[in-house]
Amino acid sequence: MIHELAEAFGMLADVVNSDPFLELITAITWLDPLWHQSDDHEIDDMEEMEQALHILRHCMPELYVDTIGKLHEGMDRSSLENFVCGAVTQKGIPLDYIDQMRFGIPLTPVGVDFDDIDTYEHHPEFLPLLDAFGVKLEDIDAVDTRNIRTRARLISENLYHQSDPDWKKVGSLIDWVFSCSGNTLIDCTDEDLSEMQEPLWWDSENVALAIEMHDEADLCLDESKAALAWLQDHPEGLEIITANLPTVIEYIEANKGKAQFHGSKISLEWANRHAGHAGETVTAPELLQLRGDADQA
Amino acid sequence: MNAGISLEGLRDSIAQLQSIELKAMVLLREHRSPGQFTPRIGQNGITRESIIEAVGEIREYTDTCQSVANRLADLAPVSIKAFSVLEYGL
Repeated sequence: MIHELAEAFGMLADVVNSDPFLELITAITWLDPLWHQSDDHEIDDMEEMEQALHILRHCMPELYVDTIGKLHEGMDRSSLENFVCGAVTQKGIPLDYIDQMRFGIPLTPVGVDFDDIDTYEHHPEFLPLLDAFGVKLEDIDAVDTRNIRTRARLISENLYHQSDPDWKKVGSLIDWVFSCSGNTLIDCTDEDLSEMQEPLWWDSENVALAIEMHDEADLCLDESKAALAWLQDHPEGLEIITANLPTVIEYIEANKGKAQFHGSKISLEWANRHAGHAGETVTAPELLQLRGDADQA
Repeated sequence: MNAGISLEGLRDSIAQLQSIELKAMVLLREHRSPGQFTPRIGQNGITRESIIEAVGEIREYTDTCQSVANRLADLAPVSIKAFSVLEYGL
């Protein structure tokens, strides 16, 4: 009886696949079981795994194919969820459980509030840098956050154009501590991000953006850690930052009211610790024009 | 709608359409054992790249079908005055 059933199943399979129309249907349902769902399909009412598959199909087709493969292998539900989370995380988007997907692309902010005294309970290693920017912990509540952040941004932009890798890393540290990188994940705390009304929704462009933001944030943290270690070994670096502050403040004053100004245009001195002489500078034509005798020279 | 095509011309055009041949159908045909509905993914020498390509093609194909179906569903009704249906001779 079982043999006859198996034989009948085989015959049915052969008949189905010999008909072009049925073969088309079989091929589609075999590789793409969610073929009937369009991009804008309403996913709120879907079951979690269906939601995950729908999102993978539209944003990460290669992972969709891998997951369908696992389904064909008969992988159990729990392992399948772990597989999806692992694959999406490996792609660059941290996903702890698949139900997270319904709330948009998971983002992991790493930002800190430099003007919040509690920050320094967790990050006392930031204090010397804070001091280098002329901010005392006891005055932190009264600090002009915007002003300090502008100075920090100009200095980090200037450091970005230096060739010394250690100084570049100090630039990343400044970006992180003073939330001035321009990358939402580096500049925002969990609280900041949760206050944003619209989550980043799943589409190919946003997925690429989220991966880039996470990669950049990871790099920034790595470089910041390296910079903290370097500044600990080279405390003169902090003095150099402080010594450059008046030039930065002068530049800000001179460019008040302008729509945009950039740190690369300021002439700052970053001592070359290897050669023992002044390092690279970047020309600041705006500042040169400030000299009253510039046109007579 | 009159595209200058006769009923016979329309019928012949449709009759000449080639059957669709998706990459997924080729994979199915080449890797399926006799008496089996579908081959197992990850076995039978089917590469991941070929499946990704096949799924991408299915997406395009099913999206096109869906779009055509939606357009057909939105067509305005056409009154046919010069055609008598004797069964409904009201």
